[in-house]
Amino acid sequence: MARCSVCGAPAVAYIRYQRRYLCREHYLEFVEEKVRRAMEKYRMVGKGYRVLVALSGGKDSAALLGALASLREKLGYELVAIHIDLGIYEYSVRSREAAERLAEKLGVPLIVVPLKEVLGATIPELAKLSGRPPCSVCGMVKRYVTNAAAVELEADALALGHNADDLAVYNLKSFLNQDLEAISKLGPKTESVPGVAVGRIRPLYTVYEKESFLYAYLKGLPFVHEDCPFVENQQMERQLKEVVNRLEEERPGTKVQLVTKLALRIRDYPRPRGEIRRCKACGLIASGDLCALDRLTLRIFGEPRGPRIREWIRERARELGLIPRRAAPAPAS
Amino acid sequence: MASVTVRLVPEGEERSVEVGEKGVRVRDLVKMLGLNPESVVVLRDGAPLVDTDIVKPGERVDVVRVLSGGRVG
Repeated sequence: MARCSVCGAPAVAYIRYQRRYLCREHYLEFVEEKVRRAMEKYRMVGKGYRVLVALSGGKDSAALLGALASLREKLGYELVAIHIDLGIYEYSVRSREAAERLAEKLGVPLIVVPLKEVLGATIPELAKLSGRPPCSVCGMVKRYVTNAAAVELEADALALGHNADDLAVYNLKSFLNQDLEAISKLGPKTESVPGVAVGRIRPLYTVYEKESFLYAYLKGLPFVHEDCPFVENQQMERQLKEVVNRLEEERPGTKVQLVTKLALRIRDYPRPRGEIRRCKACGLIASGDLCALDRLTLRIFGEPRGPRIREWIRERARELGLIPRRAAPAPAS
Repeated sequence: MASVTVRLVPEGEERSVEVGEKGVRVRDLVKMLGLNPESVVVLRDGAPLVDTDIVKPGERVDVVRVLSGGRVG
């Protein structure tokens, strides 16, 4: 039986790119240390920060909230979580339940946004009404709602559960399309634009997908382990994930090198053209007169529904006693 | 011929894999299934196994495919 390279207890994981075996305790410490180092190296948080964590109900957001909760005293930030009930049949029912159990277990206040009630339609309905692919509508709605919630909660950062595999794959996909502006968004964090957009941070930047799963599993965190019914095997992301994993198998450490180097060169990629504007309907970040969500809802419902989402979140945050906020944060150190 | 029983998760499909009398290393078992060790976690009685652990004839293991989440926004 393999033994932990640190303490000699039975091993539950082998980190090939470090040639180390780890027991449960040292494995959890290894992942949390990776997260802490990434947060410090890339200056993701400061003392007194309010961090809003986006929970999908899957393993990555479980690992993200688990690691952030373990580090919150040491790093001195406050956590709030958000889950969007997308209305994707039973998948969303199970995801919501997992997110609720997770937040409760870790003692983190959670805002659940039921899309049907707040926006007036679920993701499958929005896809049908707009004639757009479900994944495209879903991505746009999630970006809007999480940002709106972060602004309403006066959060200093919005934490997302993207792992190293996700970032490696999207980097390669964008490169194949020569969409260099898309690569510029794949760094460990983005900056806030006061009043209209809260900066996003990716604490799992250097954590592998398999490491994230094993962390959530070993820590006993609730998560759903199933694919969204709209995910297709032919999606390029899936194929690229296999390619990246074949490279990792042949050359251990490929993924961590890729994301670390990407973070170093992120500023060399061109930013999307056009100025940052304020949506005329909801006041949040937009590239034209209206933001993408208000453009879409104006077209299909005859009215922009961003303001309604913002108001709903504001009321919920008040009910939970999360706003108005008291303490002001120190700058990221 | 000796064999081990593998349950693929989340698909739920069960397979019997022929192995030698001494059993098979986890890493080799995963490759015999045509899977990449980087994309699965192998569990025996719910406990994660490492690449060099041996699965003996007659034992059952779960091979869990690590699923990816949604899109990067």
